[in-house]
Amino acid sequence: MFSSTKKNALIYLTMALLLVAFVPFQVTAKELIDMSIEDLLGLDFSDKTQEGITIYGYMSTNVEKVFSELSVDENGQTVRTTSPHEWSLPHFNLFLRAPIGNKISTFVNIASEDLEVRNMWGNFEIDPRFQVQFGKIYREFDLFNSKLDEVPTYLGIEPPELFDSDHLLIPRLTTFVVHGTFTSGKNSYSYNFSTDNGENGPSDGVFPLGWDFRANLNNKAIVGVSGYFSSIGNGKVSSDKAVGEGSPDGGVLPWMASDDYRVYGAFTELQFDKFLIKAAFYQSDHNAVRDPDAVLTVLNEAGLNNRQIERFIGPNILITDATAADVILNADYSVQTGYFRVGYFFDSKYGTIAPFAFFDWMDHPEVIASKTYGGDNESGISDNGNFTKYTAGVSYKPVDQVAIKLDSSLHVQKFNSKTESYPEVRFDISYLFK
Amino acid sequence: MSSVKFKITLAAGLACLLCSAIALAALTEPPADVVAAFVIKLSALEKNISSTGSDITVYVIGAPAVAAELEKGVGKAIGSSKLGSVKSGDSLPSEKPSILYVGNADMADQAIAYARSKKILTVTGVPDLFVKGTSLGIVIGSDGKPKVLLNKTASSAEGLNWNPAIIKIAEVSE
Repeated sequence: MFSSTKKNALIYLTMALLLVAFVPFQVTAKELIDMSIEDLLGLDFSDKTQEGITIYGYMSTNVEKVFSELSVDENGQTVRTTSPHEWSLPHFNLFLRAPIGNKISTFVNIASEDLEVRNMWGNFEIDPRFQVQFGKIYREFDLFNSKLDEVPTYLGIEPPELFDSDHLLIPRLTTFVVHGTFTSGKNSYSYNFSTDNGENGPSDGVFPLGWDFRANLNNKAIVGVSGYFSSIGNGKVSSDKAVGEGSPDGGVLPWMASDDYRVYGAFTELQFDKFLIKAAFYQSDHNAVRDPDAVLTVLNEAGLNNRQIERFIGPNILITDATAADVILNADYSVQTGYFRVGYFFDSKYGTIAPFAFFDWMDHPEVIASKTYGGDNESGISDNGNFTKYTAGVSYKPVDQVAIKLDSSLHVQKFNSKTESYPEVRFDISYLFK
Repeated sequence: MSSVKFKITLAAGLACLLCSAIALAALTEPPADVVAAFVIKLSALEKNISSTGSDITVYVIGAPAVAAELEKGVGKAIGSSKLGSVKSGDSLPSEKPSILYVGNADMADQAIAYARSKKILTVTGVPDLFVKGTSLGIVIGSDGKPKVLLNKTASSAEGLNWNPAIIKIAEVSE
């Protein structure tokens, strides 16, 4: 218990601090009418409260183990192998945010991998309804694209399949953004347009355009649409990765000579009391032309299944006999993907416990399995390019800055003419520091 | 539409959007107490108001916070006159005031027409309403500092007679 003297001292100190905090306001409120015009014109209403650099970031450690992975032996029989568990280190992002006055803000996101500068941008707020952003920016797309580095802030460990780096629908980064938010009561409505050099650098006639419109309704619901045109000019784009260099950073597969594609879809996030629901669906329509030499490399080295071989050279030619002339050049196809995520938050004196369940689905007819050759070992191993993933897990946050997550997924797809599944278990611990 | 035409249209649209947004969006509305202080100070520079030697009346449309702040200044000198009373409402005044403060976009056109017919000074703190045609605008600029905007055309239509000192204070537009 405080003594009377200490208690009085605390009250006086508190009152003094309140007085200090309100001094600028009090001067404004009481004496304005008596001030000269010159003094009135010298008043400063710019928000200087956030000047200086704010440093914060996220780091996480995770381990995963995949059981009974599917493959085919030399006799055409399905075999299952269990991979060793795999620690994934380090996941680390350092964010630096520095406002310049109250209309300009700057941001840098440094990621652990070779200290890569993942984001760096300046934002000019001419008005909340009209702002421009220049730099290396995560484009606004879906609920997750700009949030994926902030691991402790979202449910689950893995992002939705549309952001799996093995088969991205779009380039996640952009360079120039025009955006704004209109506020009406407790609702806000945002727009966002983005453009950059294009998928594989500057090219004549290539003018990519990302777009996003969303409404935040009373902080209880977010609904929106996101999309992307690989080019609204007459140019076509190519992949940023050659065959054998791994998965591309955009939507063009490495064995394509050119592609002209568009992505569009809708998303929603709903908060019902302690329930959180997120859902989205996207389609990507590609008008692509295959590169015959790249396809031959994939055919000979990437271990394709029968459907993929037929898709590339037709049904009647053996891989060993295939020449560049046999490659089917036209590759018009559509990718579809969606997710549904639900979580429930139990608050207790020990922290917040949130069980969650996810459903992910993808149909990607053109993808192959080998990651080295730009494929994905989920949809790429299935007979028809289609797979589903069911995930259940729990997140525990003893404090807001720490999240401990455990989940398990069941991958289901048609493999070697049968519906097969295999499980995966993950554990992740992530921190927010500031 | 050909690709070239499409690009030109897109570029022109973006340019128009940029220009119009920059022109308007950099200005914001000041707090009510700041607006009230400026109204009292600036009306002293309008000779028809400041030289009457009688009570000045202000009518505030659609801005009760500004009206409340102005009331704190009742009795303050405005040249040889003084602020006599402040009234407010959502429609046009029933009696001709000395100064008409416009804070409601829906009433702006009517208020400006009324002021021009009655030869009354119009003031606003809302940037968009100054563009609509009030004589004075009191706004916060992009640097966070108050700015006085003076529309000469509107002033002329309202029959105002400004002290030339206003030129040193205000950003004048036609």
